[in-house]
Amino acid sequence: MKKKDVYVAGVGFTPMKVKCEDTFADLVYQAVSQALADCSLSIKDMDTVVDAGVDLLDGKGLSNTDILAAAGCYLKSEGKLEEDGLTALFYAEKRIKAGLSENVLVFGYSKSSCLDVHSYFNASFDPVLFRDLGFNEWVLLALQASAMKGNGFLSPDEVLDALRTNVKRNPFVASGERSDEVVVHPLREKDLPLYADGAVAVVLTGDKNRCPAPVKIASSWVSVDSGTLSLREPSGLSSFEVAVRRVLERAGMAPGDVDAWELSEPTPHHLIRMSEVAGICDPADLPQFIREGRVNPSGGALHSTVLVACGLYRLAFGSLYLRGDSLPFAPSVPVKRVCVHAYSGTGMQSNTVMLLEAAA
Amino acid sequence: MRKVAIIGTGQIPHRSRMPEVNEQELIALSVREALRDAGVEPGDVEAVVFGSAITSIQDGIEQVGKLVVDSMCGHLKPSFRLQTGGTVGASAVLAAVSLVASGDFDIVLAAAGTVRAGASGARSQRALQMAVDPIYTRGFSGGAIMGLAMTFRQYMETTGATETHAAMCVVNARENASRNPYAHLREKVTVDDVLNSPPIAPPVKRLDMCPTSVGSAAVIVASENIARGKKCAWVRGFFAVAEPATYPERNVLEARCVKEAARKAYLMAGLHQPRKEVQVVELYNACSYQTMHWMEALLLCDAGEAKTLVEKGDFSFTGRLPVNPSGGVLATNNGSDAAMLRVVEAAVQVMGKGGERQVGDVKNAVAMGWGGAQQFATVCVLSKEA
Repeated sequence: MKKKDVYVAGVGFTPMKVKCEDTFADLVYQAVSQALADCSLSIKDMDTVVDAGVDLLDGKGLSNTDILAAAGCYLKSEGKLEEDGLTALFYAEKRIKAGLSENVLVFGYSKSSCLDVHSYFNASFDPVLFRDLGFNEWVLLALQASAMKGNGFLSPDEVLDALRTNVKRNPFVASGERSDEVVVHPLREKDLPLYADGAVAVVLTGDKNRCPAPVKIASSWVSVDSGTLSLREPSGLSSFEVAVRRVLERAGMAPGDVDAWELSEPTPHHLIRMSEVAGICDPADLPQFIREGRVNPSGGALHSTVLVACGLYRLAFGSLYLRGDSLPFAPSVPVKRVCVHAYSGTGMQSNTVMLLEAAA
Repeated sequence: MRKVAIIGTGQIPHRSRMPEVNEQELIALSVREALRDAGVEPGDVEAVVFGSAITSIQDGIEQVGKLVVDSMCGHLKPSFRLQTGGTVGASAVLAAVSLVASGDFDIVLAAAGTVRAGASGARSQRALQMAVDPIYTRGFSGGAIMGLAMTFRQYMETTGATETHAAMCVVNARENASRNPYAHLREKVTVDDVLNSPPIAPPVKRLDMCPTSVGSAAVIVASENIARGKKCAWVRGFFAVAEPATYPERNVLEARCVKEAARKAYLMAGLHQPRKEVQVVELYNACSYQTMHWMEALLLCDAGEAKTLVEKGDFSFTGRLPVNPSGGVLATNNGSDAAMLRVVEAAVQVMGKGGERQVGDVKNAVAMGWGGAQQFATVCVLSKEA
């Protein structure tokens, strides 16, 4: 039996900002309104809402209880994931393929810049063995970055320079100068994510005719590494590698068949290794791939990481590239396939990868 | 939808405290039972879904789904965590059903539970208090019980039901729980015990409310080609419905989300006369009166009729339509796994594995979950026939 195809019908997103003064509901409403307008559908056409949010980041238990009103979720099927929005979209895609939903509104949001994200990440670690040691996301990323050294290592500055070239073209990215100060060896401030605020909404449908400019989800996969740090491979990219491999296998593609990659990189060190394990390019060629818009034409996640929504931003950008929308930061050549990525957990424990295709 | 079945369930005896296990071990215990019940190996599981309700604020652990991934046989597999309040256990099963029904997976495991729910009832209520507006209502310190008290009173005034009717529901729940080795509160109580128990937020008294229990549950969902030949419960209808916490004409007593979920689930299952076609119901009664309220909202009796049916014993273990032969949420409430246990117990009844709590030959069972600010509902129809 042929499986049902699922399409990105519309996307909407707010600019990523630092210390944004809009409320959560305001951000979600803006993104949802844009996404619906983008595909000329109304909230009444949506039978299901799948949202991504984190209670602690929202400062509220069961935070979806209030935010759903901003997304027009009245007597609709609903599910909230405490994951990146791209993982929520993975679930939404399966609901459509299963025939349980027809049109799904997916959204993700956070105001990461307004919060002490280090406490959030610290609370994600084992309370007995790791939390008191001061473990947080940046400490783990630094340990992983250290483990990545010595493998045909490319200077992270070359990667940062290339990413910065693309970021300058992207009006939706938060601006902020980052220093050379070492925060957690070997990572400097400019090697680490700049946390920002924003919201993204995406309309998924199984009905291609409802899409003015359909983008097909050709393949998707999620892979989660062990919850025990000592069981993970030191550089921490096992689950990323599995997710990329499974996505390409399921689509019958090779890395070279993908025209552009929108990756959520936590540090330039990780991006170098990610490009290698995904088979995108030789690490030495990564700066050139970035400048040509084959890797992170948007400038990537490093310069604006909206926790919970980071992967959904990548999907929104990728969809716009495939539609051929006029964007100052789009790849310079037409693209037929884009691979988008999100991570969550600590130290890229969980990775979601999707292959998008332009649907004629 | 591709045919999908529950081929195995697991749960552990729930208690007030379980200091001997951590979160990972707690989940692993139920997962192990579910794998054994389904006759599948950890390597057969292709994806996992975890459900936990407000765990981060209640327990002080963030991203708990990532912590327990190994306990769920989820290493390097697709995995995600749902968080939909009280309904989350059922939402996790629904997600597993969606993954299998999509055709991309054949065996998916869903699990739910938390080790700290029973550490302190007050702590659970503080966590729930975090769900309300921080400026206008959080300072009232009502937790979930304040809202239930108001709806309880509204229900009585609207239907003519009394606190005695609600107490009879508790008596029935405890009677049923005494036959369930996994239930938390298994001691029988009388109507007088309930009516004379200390008031919490009138008309809610201590024995009107569910306990806070430590425990976990797990479910194995499989495609038709895996399920055929196994003892299983076919998922014929499953819907989760949400409504906003507040909107101008909202009347909580209407329970629109429950009614909508029920209508859709029955339609999907092809149940045109659910009152005649359903043999057992597992519903989410966190408070005594909800047994009656939900039977009406589930369209299994007329509005205002439930009190009479309670008097007649229709909802008892040997009654016309047994409700919660497991004892229900009034006897066991982990928060995170409570809605999953409704699905688990419904599946157990359909598969005829209920032992002392088996109500007889069950062709169709209904499992209902509820949560959020009285705004989320799940309704699942499980059947013996595909």
